Amino acid sequence: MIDVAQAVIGFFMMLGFMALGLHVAVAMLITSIIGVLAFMGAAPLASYGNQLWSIMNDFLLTSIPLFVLLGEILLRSGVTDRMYRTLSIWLSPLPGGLLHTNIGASAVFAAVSGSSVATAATISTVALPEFRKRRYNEKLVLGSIASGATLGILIPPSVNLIIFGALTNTSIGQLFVGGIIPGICLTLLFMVSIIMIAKLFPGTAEKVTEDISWADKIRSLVHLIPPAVIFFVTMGAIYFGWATPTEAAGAGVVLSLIVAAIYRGLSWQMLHAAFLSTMRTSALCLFIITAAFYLNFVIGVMGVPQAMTDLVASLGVSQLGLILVLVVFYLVLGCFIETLSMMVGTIPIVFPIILYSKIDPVWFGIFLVLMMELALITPPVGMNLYVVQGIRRQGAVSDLFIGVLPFVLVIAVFVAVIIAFPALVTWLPGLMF
Amino acid sequence: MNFIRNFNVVFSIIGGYVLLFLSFLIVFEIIARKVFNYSLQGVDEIGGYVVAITGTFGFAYALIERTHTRIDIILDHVPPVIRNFLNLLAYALVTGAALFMLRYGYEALSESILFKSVSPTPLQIIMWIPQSMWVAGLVVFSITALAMLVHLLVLQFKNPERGFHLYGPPTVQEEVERELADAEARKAESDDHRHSGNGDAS
Repeated sequence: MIDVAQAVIGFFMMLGFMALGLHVAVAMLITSIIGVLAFMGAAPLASYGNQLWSIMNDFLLTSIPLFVLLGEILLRSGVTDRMYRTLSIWLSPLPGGLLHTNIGASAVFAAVSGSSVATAATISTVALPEFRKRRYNEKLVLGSIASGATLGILIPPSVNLIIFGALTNTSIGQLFVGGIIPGICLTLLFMVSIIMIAKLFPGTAEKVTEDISWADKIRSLVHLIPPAVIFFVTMGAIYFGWATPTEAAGAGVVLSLIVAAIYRGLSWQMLHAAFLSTMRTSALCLFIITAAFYLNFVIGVMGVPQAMTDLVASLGVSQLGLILVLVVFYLVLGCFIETLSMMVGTIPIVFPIILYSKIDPVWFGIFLVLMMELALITPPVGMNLYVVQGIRRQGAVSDLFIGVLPFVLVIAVFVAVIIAFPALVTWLPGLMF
Repeated sequence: MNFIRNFNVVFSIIGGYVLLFLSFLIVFEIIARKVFNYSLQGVDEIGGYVVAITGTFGFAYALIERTHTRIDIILDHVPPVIRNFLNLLAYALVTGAALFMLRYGYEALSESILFKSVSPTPLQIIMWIPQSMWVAGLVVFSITALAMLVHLLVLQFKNPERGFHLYGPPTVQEEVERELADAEARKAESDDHRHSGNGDAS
């Protein structure tokens, strides 16, 4: 058996391998193999092939490529651009104007897809030209795009929640449903903060007053129907127990094809581009997942979960104390490690403690995703900041650091809110069929 | 290398069609179950095989497209000699990992052939059939990794700068350019549709 100090050394060894620039999955696999060889000899490796097969052949994971494909087809169908225009008609009369459109469009887009980078890229190409025509504080514009794009991993369907559920044996349906209220709350909080900034600092963001007749306004709503239908069909089927998350994903793919056909966005070329992108993204996830599952297994056999829970028990940390420690732990880690790697790399050692402390697994999944959202927009490694900066092609990346600040604060406050009121997360899944 | 890339592209497009087919199968299953109380039995099992097989082929494609996650926090801040060495190390180890998976994957396959394993489900799939395709994906993954490693090794002597450019972790700018090219193409297309009056209200 292993003691906590050795486990911690192993954990930092893995982080070290990652930092050296190895492929993240390879870093995890090597750490697992070293663990097996050091503590159990070569014999347990013999079962690796069968384990790899059973991990990859898990029906739960089938939903990952399907949800990715659904998002890719929809992204290429032209629905996003039209949706952005509709939302700008409806949201821009608010104080803060077009900034709300960035948040709203990201949220709606997140509800049907999961890729932050693709969301930020799509929204930026549509939005930045609009903004350049008007007087807006550029930092805030960039910040709202980068922050809005993080909503994708919280609002279901979220690939990150599927991975969390598969690794921890938590119901993916419950996790998805658990993400709905926090997703809506966070979207609204982002918007409220924009309104406050617009009121406090007049001139940073103007209202947009365009003369659009009510008839046109109503007619524009037609472009919100496709994402709404897909969201309600997939999530509804899961919520009411008509279909598993994987089946819902399959149905979503077929619906997105129909949407693309209606918008005349369907072509062989578009379909093949969607396929290639889907294969890349899901292989990236799957490679890390297979390594994480094996790491999880090795760590379990070595008795790390027992050692960790014994340690926590002996320290007598309260639930709240533990959560606060985890907040700091993930804030620090998020500064250095890419978010998906951060999640799967820490679950094997953190999750047993969560179970031991009787923290709700669904709540913890949502908490973890919120911490990942923070990591996505905090320097030095905040991926979304660099993506938006890359699209902007001018100015300094430090503009982004300032622009996201209000939204970083909002997420931090919201983390505190769900710690104080866990029911925000756990209430809706508790009602499920 | 172009040959290996094209080869992977073809497999990945086939993989996409298989996923699409699976989606239609799933929709058929849901409707049949809800409306006609009839089940195909085993769509979930087939789904598992599809992901296992497209997964291993996908590993290879994602590798050659440099999509697999790497952290460049140190690579960006060390002298080129160390950076190139670490990059080479990463490819040596990913090749090692691919061969490790292939070796034990092949062992799992040969056991299934030896014991004539059949899945314990209504479909009673003979296990070596999906497993051999899964191992084929691992073979492609290993060959791809090995080819990249050899090419990178050769470049160390000829042009190490180019080696890192080709095989180092993609910079954010490269990733953005890729997404942006897609997004701009789509935007141009949807603008065309609007000008030709294809039913856009705004």
